[in-house]
Amino acid sequence: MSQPLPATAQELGLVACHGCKLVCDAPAIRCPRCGARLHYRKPASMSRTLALLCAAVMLYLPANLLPVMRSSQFGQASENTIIGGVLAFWHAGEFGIALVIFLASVAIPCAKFLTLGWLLWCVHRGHQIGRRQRTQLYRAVEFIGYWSMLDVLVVGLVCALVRFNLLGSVEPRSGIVFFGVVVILTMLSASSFDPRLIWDDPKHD
Amino acid sequence: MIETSHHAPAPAPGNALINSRRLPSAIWIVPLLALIIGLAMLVNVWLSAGPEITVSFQSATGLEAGKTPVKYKDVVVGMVKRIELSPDLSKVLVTIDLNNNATKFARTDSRYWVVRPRIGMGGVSGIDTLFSGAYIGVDSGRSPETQSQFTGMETPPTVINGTPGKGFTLHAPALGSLDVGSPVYYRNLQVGQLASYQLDTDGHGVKLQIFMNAPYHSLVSSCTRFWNASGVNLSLNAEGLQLQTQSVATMLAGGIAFDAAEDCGPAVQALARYDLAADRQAALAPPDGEPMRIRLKFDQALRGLAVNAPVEFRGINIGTVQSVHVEIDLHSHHYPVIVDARVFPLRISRDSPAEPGSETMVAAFLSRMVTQGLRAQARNGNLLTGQIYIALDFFPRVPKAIFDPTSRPLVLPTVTGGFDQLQDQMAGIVSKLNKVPFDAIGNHLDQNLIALHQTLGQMNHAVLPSTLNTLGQAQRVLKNVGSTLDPDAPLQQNLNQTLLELQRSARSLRSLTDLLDAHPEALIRGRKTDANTPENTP
Amino acid sequence: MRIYPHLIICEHCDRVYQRPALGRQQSAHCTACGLKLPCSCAFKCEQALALSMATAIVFVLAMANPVIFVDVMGHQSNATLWQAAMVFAQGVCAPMTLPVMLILFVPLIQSLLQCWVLAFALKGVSAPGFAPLMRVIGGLQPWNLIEVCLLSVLIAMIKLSGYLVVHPGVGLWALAVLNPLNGLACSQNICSLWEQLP
Repeated sequence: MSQPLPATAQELGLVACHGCKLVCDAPAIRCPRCGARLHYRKPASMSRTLALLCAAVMLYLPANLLPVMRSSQFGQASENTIIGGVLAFWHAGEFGIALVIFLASVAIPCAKFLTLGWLLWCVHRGHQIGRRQRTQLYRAVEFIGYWSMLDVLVVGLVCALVRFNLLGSVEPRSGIVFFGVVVILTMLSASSFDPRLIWDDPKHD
Repeated sequence: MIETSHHAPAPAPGNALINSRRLPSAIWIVPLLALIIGLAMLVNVWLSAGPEITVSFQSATGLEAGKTPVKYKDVVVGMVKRIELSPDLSKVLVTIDLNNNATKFARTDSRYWVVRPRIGMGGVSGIDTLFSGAYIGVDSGRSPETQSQFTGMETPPTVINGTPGKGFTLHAPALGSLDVGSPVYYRNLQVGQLASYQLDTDGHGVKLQIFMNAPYHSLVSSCTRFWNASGVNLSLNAEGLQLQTQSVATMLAGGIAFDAAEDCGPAVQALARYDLAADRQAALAPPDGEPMRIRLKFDQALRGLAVNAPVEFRGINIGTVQSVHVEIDLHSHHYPVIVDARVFPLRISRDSPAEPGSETMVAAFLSRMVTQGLRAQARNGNLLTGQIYIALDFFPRVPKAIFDPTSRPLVLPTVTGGFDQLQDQMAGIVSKLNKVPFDAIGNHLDQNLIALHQTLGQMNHAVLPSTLNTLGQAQRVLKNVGSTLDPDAPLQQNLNQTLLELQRSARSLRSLTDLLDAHPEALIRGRKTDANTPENTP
Repeated sequence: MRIYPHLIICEHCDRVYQRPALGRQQSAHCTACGLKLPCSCAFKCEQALALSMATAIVFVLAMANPVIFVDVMGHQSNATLWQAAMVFAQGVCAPMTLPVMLILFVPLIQSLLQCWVLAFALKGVSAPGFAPLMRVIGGLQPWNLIEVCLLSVLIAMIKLSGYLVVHPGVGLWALAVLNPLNGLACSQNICSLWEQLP
């Protein structure tokens, strides 16, 4: 980009309402149009993001270790975890499904953890290189965030369908609760991260 | 610094042509379409909703609101909508949404039951509900009225409406080993089953409803007789030991069998009511008509005469003994045994053209026979078990008996004997045997044997050697005689020669006499040796 | 306090831009980070309202009808998305029920609110509760998981087709139609209403 970047709102003393996108003068507290509270940056963005991220990471362990589903047929019950399910599909030859579930349930949450962690780290350290890429990365994280809910809905559907008493029945188990909470926490964490912090020059603050 | 420029370029902007649109834009087709589809589906659901009924069950085991279907012949005709307890907590009320085309199942006589895995006499049923969960079975009724409250049955009915076949009613004195589902056999082939049973309204029997599957139901006609083929029939009576059973299945589950009686009239369509006989023989026996009660007085002990012992006339079973009791007559010091029996006069004169008819006619008939010597006698039926039966027979040398044809029950005169006589004869033989002096005979026999023994000893010592000598001598004599008579013996040779000589002499003498006859002068002259030969002389 | 309605600020990098007038197929992007600037595409109220209504109706269809039919040895079973969420209601997973239900119903709530607002906007007035409703609509946007629903239904079908006989239900078709509708309805530039309505 050869042309110079436009000025930031902070430099100009402007602030945009996050509700109605109205640009107002900085000292304003509430947006005159929609009444939302005005702030330069999302309040306590870093700490909230970090806290939610840590909670998500901590809950990710039981989400993977505890079984998510319990299927029983003719009295024989078997419980499987997320990774167990992926391996089962892989061994059964269903590579496509194994890949999709692996992506949705393992790759994406781990990628989110790593990415958000890295973004927080970079903001904390005040790195200025690659800001555009990091912003794009943040956009990607925000975009793929909710795809992890896939597993929760698949478990719900399978349990609702396979209800044949002796012939086969599936029940959700506690692992799915943890997993769902992890997904929700990562979504909240991503939404509470203020990407404008990437562009902030720590020397100015 | 950001500047905004609100100034327009030099030429003043003109007034554009304003075209206001009256009609809504084409985008509205999208929600309209969605709305139409949604409404169509809603209308479809509403139209396909049939009547809503409530069925009460004892318990809701296996039933689930929103999941449990109602099936008829395995086709889903409705769904359980709601399950709740009745206000008095005694029953479970199941609200069912029937499909639109299932109004037939809301008829007054429709029946509802829950199909669960069941193990019963008829076998195991409803296994597939272990996989799919219990469902509610329904049987459509036939009545034209509908109702919305039903009481569910706790067990599935044996017969579903609409099964091809026909139901019949049987009457039996007791249920025996029959149960709902007991099979009905025809020639050992199962053709139907017992659908239900109730006690008769007067309590004197059981009414059974059987259902015969098509096409066997046409086998039942007015000539059909049913009997209880359950279990094992073991009977021990004056006729002997009898063991009867249909099959192992009937031993377990009970059963009814039927067949056509042989000498029935033309077979018309089935009767409204049949009787269930106790066994095949009783069922297929020709009808007996009305029984007649008779009373017999015996002056002897009748040990071995049991109730239901047969009463026979000339070897034909005509009835059974109903009761045996002793009459205590303290004045005359007689204690006769009174036997009450029931006879079927029809059995006596089955083939005779004239039927006995009423009881007076039978009484008159019997009085004639009594004058001819008809008496009742207790006879030994089975030496093995000692059972007695009553036989009516003609006795030529019996004293006349008084017979009152008007008394009810009819009192027939009796004679003793039969088994009693046998006992007397046996007693006589035994006493005779007692009189035979077996001791004396034994002693004499013993003595004779000793003497014989002595005689034989003597013979051995004395008589025998001399006899042997005599025999030797005789043998020698005979030998001599034999040698004398031998053709080569000299005596015989001499005798032969002598006889030959005599023969020659006789011949020559004869020729001499002949010559003398012809030529008496030959005595003087001698024989002429030429022409006059004696051979030519006559 | 002064307001600058002709200016617009990029949400991700905080740069200030002049709000451009856009044609039909045009959209404005930030030069620093490339984010599509908010309220920066053409907006047609009628179109938005129609799409929102269609989304709401099709959503009801997708939720009310079973999405998958399953058949094993003659025994059938089916499930709607609603039932799939209610599965968690019993036992250990009960805490999951409410979040999943809410997430499932976000598109409906969003489209209904949009219909409400747009209906009044079509007449040129601002709906009662316009401001909070608009904010709620904006806040619900990241939680709109229709695509996830569709993909999860497809994956469940593929997963079960190995053991059972699987048929798609009406709900699945409705869900498939709902996806583009929802996408269109949500991409409508509703925040232009802020300027258009008093």
